[in-house]
Amino acid sequence: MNDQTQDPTSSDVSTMSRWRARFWLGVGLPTAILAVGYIPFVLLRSELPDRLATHFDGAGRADDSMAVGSFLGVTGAMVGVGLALCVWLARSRRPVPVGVGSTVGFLGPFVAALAGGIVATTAVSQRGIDNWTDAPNAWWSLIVAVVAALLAGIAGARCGSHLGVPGSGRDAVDTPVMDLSDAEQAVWTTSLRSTPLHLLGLSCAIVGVVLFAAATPWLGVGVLVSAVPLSALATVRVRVDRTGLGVSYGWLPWPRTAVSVERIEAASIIDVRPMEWGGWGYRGSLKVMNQAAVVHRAGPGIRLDLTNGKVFVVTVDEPATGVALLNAQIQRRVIAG
Amino acid sequence: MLWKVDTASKHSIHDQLAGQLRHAIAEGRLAPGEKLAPARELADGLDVNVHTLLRAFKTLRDEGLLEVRRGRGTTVTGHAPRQAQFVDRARELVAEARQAGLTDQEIRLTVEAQL
Repeated sequence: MNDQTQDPTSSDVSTMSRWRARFWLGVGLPTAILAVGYIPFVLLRSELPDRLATHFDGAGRADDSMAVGSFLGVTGAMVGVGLALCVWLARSRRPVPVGVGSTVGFLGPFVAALAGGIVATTAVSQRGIDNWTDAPNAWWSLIVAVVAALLAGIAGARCGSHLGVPGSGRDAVDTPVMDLSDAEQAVWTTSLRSTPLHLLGLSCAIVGVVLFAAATPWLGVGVLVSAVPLSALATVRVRVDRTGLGVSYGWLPWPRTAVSVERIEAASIIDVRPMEWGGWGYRGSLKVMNQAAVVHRAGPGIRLDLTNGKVFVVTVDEPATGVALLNAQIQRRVIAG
Repeated sequence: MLWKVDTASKHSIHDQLAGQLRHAIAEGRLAPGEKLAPARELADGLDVNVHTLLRAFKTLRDEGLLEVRRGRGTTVTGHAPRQAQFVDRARELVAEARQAGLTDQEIRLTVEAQL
């Protein structure tokens, strides 16, 4: 089923180079990013106050500070934890799933750019002041750091997804085919509801409303907005018919995922382990990465091997019927020419 | 659930769809409260007229198994599983009685006498 297991010697070489590349991406690159972030800090060190403002109130006045040493320690520890996670994830010398590759690629550059960005912007905005209470309102520094971190993380995830093998997570359990005569037409529908996700979405909505009403309207709106994708993703509906496989999310009319029969090479039942696919939720992307997975829980799911070598996975209960119907539709398409 | 239409079957498409839906409810594959896929999508996938499918939905609504609400979709009613089993058995009973040569009027009177 898995044609990744070709000639062992040649795959050993590519596995080794992929392993090295993952380390460079997850540890080497972040270290470089961090070093770049520290350059303004080192250059401006003599112009900085002894304590740095590290927190600002709603009106933009500095209301908390840290000694320079602890500031560097905290940001350093943040990066250290991220890089340790990267090392732990990337340590396997065997081929790893795409999800692991892209997680390593995201995590390392993300934490490094976030910490580096905070250090650099803090140094730039607080140079030349005598006391941390005089620190100017630097709301932009957090935005700069977060945007830089997201850009670095997304770029890293894109590179990282090429350092894993698509769908190497787990071998297919089974690939049944349904008997479907020419006079027959069939549709299979199912839905999967994630109670934890549902509760999380609901609590986000409640917390959002309370925050909005009580104290911090903007934070409230932010939390409320995050409740939308959470509660929408909590229920996933999957449909298999002659056009292929379709996934729709909760009560949202958009986005939907559609994989047409023409693009599918084979469908199979698999046992999904969330970490091998990058975690829970909608992971990866069929457009920019080698795989995408809609993961709601560990357990059975449908795996589609696409004609372009990419892999799509969705967790569903009792996937056998859906998989069998998909394979029947694929056969029908192949016979039809 | 699996919806299947066989144009070569001796049963009408309406009966095939209604029968599958009834069975899925009786066996608990469709739980009470569960929402059915949009009729248009289903009809498209099965290559049947959407009115034929809606007529099957209507049959099951009349049997008390489905709740059809305009604009809000079709859901399985709360007491549907037991009801579906009952409807299934009633159908069997009627078929058996007809085979035994009873007229519809006689069947009706027999059932009524038991109430």
